[in-house]
Amino acid sequence: MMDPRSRNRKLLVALWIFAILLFALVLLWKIFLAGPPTP
Amino acid sequence: MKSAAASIRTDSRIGDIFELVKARLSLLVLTTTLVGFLLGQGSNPISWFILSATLVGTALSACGAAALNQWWEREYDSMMKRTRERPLPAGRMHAADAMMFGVFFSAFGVACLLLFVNILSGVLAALTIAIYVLIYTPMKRVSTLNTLVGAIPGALPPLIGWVAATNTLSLPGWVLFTILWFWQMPHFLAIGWMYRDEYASAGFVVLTGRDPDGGMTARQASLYTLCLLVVSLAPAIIYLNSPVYFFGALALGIGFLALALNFAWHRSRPAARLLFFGSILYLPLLLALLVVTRNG
Repeated sequence: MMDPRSRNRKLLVALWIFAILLFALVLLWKIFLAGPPTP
Repeated sequence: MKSAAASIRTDSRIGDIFELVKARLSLLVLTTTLVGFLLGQGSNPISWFILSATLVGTALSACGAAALNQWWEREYDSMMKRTRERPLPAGRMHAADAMMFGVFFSAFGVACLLLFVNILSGVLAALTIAIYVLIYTPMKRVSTLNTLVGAIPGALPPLIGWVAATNTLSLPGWVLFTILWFWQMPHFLAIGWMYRDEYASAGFVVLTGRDPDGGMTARQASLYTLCLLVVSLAPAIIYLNSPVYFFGALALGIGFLALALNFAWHRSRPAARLLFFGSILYLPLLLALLVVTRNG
């Protein structure tokens, strides 16, 4: 059975990647789809 | 021997992550942010981009702040039965991993708001994290005023939502802030009194730890609940919500106040528990009422 600390480290890294992808997705949305900024 | 609940948590693959980011609390933060946004939007068409960026930024910030809070308190959490099975005090997670995660997510969340929503919402989110992690968390061991300060970051998310939609720190946003601030007082006073011995043994300075018979706690809980009742009517008075809201909020507020007075009368653990569960029921109902009866 995997050491819980190693397992949790992997899960946290996966969450980091997820957050970066989410951020990138919002950035791409802003660049390509969103209109002019709201007042 | 570990409790069944603790075993479930230990065995669950993502249970530790949910605990680290205080998933339920972060969900509440997201919900109140959404309510603030919807009220700020009024009858204007919703900008799905701004709404999504607001929710992503707030979610990242809330998760990051929760991780930093637990990283800071890991040694004290190990002294309390209620918190010692959390991943850090239980030794199931490296402290440095949690700290890095907290810093990264907090920074990413604030950046998301600053870049994609507006400066004001990003500044408010940064302020929320700073008060929660740098002021409230250490203050828990120093002053009984920590609950009053801790309620500020808890009340800022609906204001962040309001600011995201309107880009102004106007009165209705502050009304939402005040409602959330007052709501937390009876909620946390009830928890604090139920677990007062545990808090005291872990070295946390809580008002309820010096109040074994519950008299002062109950008086304060009742007073704050009365203030909440009054403030919760304000959205109808400033025309943020329809008159229907006024009567709904009044009924909910009277019910909540009755639970606080019941606690003041009995000063027992079941009465404190009832007040706690009442607070959990009251808030989503009031938030739903705010959204459903909002004026365009």
